[in-house]
Amino acid sequence: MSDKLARAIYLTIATLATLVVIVLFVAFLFRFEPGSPIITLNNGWKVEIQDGKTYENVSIDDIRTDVKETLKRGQKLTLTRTIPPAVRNYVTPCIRLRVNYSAVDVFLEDGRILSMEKNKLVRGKFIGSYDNYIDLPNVKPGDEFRIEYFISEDDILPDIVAPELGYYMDLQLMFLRKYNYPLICGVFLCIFGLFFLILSLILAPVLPEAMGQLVSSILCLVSGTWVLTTHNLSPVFFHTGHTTDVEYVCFFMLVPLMYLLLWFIHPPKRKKIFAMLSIASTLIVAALYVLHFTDTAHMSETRPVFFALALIVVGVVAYDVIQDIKERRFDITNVMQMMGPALFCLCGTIAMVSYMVVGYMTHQSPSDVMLLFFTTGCSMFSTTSLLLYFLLLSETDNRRKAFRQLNQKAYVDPTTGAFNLNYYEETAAKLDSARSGFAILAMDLGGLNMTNELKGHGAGDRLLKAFGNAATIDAPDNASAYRLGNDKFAIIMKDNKRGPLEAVVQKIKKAMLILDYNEPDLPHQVFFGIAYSDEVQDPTTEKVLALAKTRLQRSSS
Amino acid sequence: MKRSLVTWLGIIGVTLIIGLGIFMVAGNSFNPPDKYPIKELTTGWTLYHDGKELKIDDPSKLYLSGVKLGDRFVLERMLTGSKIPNAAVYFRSLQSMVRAYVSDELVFRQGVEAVENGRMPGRTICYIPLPDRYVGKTLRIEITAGEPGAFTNLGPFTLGNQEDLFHEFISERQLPYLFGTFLTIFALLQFLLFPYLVIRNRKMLQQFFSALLVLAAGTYMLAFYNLFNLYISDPEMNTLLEFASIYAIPVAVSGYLQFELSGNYGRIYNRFTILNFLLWIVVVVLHFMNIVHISQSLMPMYVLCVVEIIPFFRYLLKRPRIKKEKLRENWLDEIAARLPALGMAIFTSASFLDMIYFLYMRDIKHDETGATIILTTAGGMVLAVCQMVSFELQGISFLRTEENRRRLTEKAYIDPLTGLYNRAMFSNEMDALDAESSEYAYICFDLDDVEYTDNKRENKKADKKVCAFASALRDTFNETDLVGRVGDNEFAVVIDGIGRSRLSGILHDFAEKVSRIKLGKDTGVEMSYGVAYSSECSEPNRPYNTYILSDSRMYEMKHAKGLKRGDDDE
Repeated sequence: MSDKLARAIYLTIATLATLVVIVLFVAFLFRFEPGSPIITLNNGWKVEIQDGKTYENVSIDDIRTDVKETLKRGQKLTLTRTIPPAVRNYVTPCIRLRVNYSAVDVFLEDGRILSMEKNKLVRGKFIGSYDNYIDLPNVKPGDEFRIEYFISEDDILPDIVAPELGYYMDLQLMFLRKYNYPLICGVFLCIFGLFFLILSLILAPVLPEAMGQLVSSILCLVSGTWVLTTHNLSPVFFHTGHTTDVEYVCFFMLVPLMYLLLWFIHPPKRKKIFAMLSIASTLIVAALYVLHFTDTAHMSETRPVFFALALIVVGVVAYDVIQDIKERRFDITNVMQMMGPALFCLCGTIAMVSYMVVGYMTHQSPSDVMLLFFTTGCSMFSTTSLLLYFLLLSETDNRRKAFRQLNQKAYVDPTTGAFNLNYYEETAAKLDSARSGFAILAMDLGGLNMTNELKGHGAGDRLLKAFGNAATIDAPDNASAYRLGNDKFAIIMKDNKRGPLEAVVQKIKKAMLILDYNEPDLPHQVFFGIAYSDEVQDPTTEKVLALAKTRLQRSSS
Repeated sequence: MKRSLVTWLGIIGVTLIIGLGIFMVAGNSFNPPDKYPIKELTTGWTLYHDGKELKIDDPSKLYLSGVKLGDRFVLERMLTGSKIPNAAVYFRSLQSMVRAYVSDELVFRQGVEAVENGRMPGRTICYIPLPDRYVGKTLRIEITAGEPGAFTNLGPFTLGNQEDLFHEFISERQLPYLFGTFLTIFALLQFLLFPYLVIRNRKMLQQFFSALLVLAAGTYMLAFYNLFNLYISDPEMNTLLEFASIYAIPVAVSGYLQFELSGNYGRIYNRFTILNFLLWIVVVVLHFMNIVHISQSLMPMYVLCVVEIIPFFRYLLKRPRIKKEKLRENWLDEIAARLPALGMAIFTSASFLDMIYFLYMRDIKHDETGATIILTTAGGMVLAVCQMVSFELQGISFLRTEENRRRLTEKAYIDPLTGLYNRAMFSNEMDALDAESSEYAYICFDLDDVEYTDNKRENKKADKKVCAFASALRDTFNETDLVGRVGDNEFAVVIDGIGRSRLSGILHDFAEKVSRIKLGKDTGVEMSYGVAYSSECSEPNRPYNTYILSDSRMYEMKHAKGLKRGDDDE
C-alpha cells in the first residue's frame, strides 16, 4: 500500500471517527423534552375561501391536495376549528402560529385575540414570514378558534403551517430546538464572517492578499444572516419587522458576491466574459431589489430569475473546477480556496433543483430538508476557510524549508558556490540606494574556454569550482563573491577600507598556485582589478565595477 | 494616494461595522417591544425558614451564609396589580429544589428528582406560570438547598408576560450567547480537523490544547448564563458543563504552555498538565459517583491555578524581546507566532479577575446572583480573535511565501533571456529522467560565433543570436523534450526514447533551420553539436557521463569544421 493511500485511509477514518464522537457527544448533551406535551393542530379544519368553496375536515399537511383552488392576492382564507380538550392541561396555554406572506386576524369565540400586518396589506407593502405566540385567556375545550388570512402574494396555500398548542416556553424552546442546526450554523457564520471582515478591512490596505479574505468574510456574514432569517430565527435576537426582506436581500446578494470572490481567489482567464457575466448578474440583482422595494414585483415572486442567475454562477464555478482538474492545478492553496465555493455551489444546486422540481411537481413549499442543504453549503464554506488556515499552518514549516532551498538555487551559482548575477543585481540595487562606501574587486578567469575545449566541460567545471571556492572562502566578512558571467567574477565589500581586497587577491593567487600543483593540466590565468566608491563621482556599483574592469584590463594587458 | 484612500476606506469600514455591532448587540434598538409591563417583585414577601418567619421584605437583599443541604426556605406573597395574560414569575434558582403554588395549587416544580436522588441539582432559570385569575391569590415558593452553600440569597423575582420575560432573558445574554456559540463551534471544528494536523506536524498538539481552551471558554459562557437551557431540557447538565469547563481551563492552558515554553518552563507545564488532567478526571468521577459534587471542590482548583500561573508570568517578564530588525523583516510570522499566547494570557487574567469579582460579590457584597463573567466573556473573545488573527497572518504569510517561491522558481530554474530551463533545472530534470527512462539521447549545442565580453554592443548582438537559436530549438523540439540553456553559448536537449535515425532526421532539419537564421547583413548563427545516448554510458553518474560524451563529440564537430582551439576563446 502506498504512503499516500495509507495516509488518505487514516485521514478518512480518523476524521469520520472524530465526527462520530463529536456528533454522539452533542446528541447526548442536546436532549430536549418539553415540560408538557405540544399539540400540533393539524387536523379538523374548516377551510373557507372568499368568493369560493368551503371545505370541511381538512388537514393542513394535505391542504394543497384537498383544496383545489389557487388563491390570489387580496383574497381571504379562513381556517376554523375547535380548541382540543387537552387545553385543560395547561395553566397558561399558548398557540404558536407561523404566517407566510399574509396579514392575519385570529379569533377565539368571536373575540379577536391577534391582528397582524393589516397596515402593510392596505398600503400594498411586502409582507414576509413571521411567528406569533398567541395567549389564550379564559380558553375552554370546544371553543371556536378561527384564523383569517388576508393573502398578499399569489398562491400561498403551500405556505400555510399548522399551529401548535402548548406552554409558551415549551413552544419557544421547541422551535429553537427544531432549528438548532441552522441556528448554530447561522450564528457561527455571522460571527466568523464579522471577525474576518474587520480583520480583512484592517489588513487590506497593507496586505493586498487579504482582498480574497475580505470578500469571503462578507459571503460568510451574508450567508449566515440568510440562514438565520430564512428559518425566522433572527427575531429571537433582533426584532426588525423586516426579517423576510433581509432574507431575500441576503439570498440574492450571494450571486454577485460569488463572482467577486472568484475574481480574487481564482482570477479568470477569459476576463471579458467573466466581467460581463458578473456585471450583468449584479445589475439584474440590483434591478430585482429596486422592483421589490418599490413594490412592483416582490422578491418572493422574482425568485425564478435569481435561480437562473445562481445556476449560471454555479456553471462558472464548475467550469473553473474542471479547468483546474484538466490543468492539474492541485496545489494546496488553490484546491482549498476553490473547495469552499465548489461545495457551497453543489449544496446550493441540490437545494435549488429539488426546490424547483418538488415545488413544480407537488406544489409544496421548500421543505426543511432543502433548506438544510443550503445551510450545510454555507457551513461548508466557512469550514473550508478554516480548514485552509489549518492546512497552511501545518504546511508552513515544510514550505519554509523548501523556500530556503529554492533561495539557494535562485541566488547561488551551483558550480562555484558564489552568488549569481541575480543576487549581484539585487545587492547592487541595495548598495546604490544605501549610498554608503563600498569597494569592488573584478576578476577574470582566463583560460576557462580553452580548458573546456581541450579537456571538456568536466575539466572546465573543476577549474571554476576551485576558483569559485577560493573567491568565496577568502572574501572578507563584510564581502561576498559573485559570478557575473561565464568566467567573470566580482567581490563586493561593503566599505571602502583599503587593504582587505588586496589581501584577498593574494590569497586567491595562492589558492590557484596550489591548484596548479594538484592539477597541472588545467591551464588558467586570473586577472584582478580593484576600485573604491570614493574614487568616482556620484558612485554607483555600475561605475565602480566599470573602473575595476578598466584596471583589470590594464593589468591583463 | 491610492493606498491612503484604501486605508481610509478600511478604517471607515471597520468603524461602521464595530459601531453597528455594538448598536445591534448592546443597544436596545432591536429588542422587541414589551407586550405588557414587567414588574420586579421586590416587596411584600414573607420568608419562612425551618417554620420560623424571618422579617424581610425583599429576599434578594437577604444574605444567607452557611446554607446546609436540605435547608428549606418558603417565600409567600400576595399577587396584586393589573392582570397580565400568560403571566409568569421569573427567577434564577441555584442548585435547589423548587416547588411553587398559587393558592395551594401546585403550578411548578424544579429539581425535585435530582435532590431526592442525591444528584446535583442545576442552576437554572425558573418560569412559574400563573393561572388566568392569579390577581389576589397567594404565591408560595418553596426552595430547598440541594447542595451545601447552594445559594447566599434568593431571587430577584420578576413578574411579566412569558414572551416578554423570555425576550428579556435573551436580550440580557445576547453577547455571551453569540460569542459562546461561536467559540464552541469554532473549537469543535478545530477538533474535527485535528487528525490532519497530527499527521502533518506533531507540534500541532499545541493546537489541540488551544482548541480545548476555546471550547472550555465557549461552554463556560453558555453554561454560566444558562444558555444551554435553550437546547437542553436538563438543568443538571447545564450546571455540570459549567463546572466541567472551569476544570478544563487549567488543563488547556498548561497543556498549551508546555509546547509554547522552552526548557524547564516547558517541563514544569508538562507536569502541571498531567496534574490538572488527573484532577479533572477525579472530580468528574467523584461527581458521577455522588461522592463529592463537582460544584463543591472549586477552591482547591482556584489555589492550584494561582500557583500554576506564576511561572508563566515569570517567563513573560524574562523572555528576550524581539529584535526590531527581525520584527521588521518578518513581522507577519513574528506576530502570528506570539498572538495565541497573548490571547491566552489575556483570557487567563480575565478569568482570574472574574473569579475575584465573584468572591467579592458573594462574600462581601452578599449579591451572588449579581456576579457576572463579563471579563471572561471578553477574554474568551480576545482569545478567539488572537487565534483568528494568527490564522489570517499565517495564511497571508504562506501565500506570500508561495508567491516568492513562484518568483524564485523562475529565477532559480528559468533562463531570463531565452525562457528555457537553466543549468540547475536541466540537471534536476535530467536526473529525474535518468531514474525513469531506459534510454535517452543527449544533444549538446555550442554556438561557434557567440562570445560575451565587456563590450555591450557585442553582447547585444550575442543576445540576439542566442534568442534566435533558442526560438529555433523551441520550434523544432516537442514540449515533452528537455530543452535548456546550460551556459552562455551552450544549449542542451534531452529526448526520451528516440531512435537514432529519427533523431538524425530531426537534427538535419534543425541544422537547416539554423542555417536560415538571418539577423542582419550576412550575419547568421553557426553551431556545433554532439549527440550521445545514455545506453552508451555506464553508472555511476550516467547522466553526467552522457553529457561529457556528447560534449566531447560536439568539440569533435567543431574541430572538424576547422575551428582551431581558442578560436571561440578570448
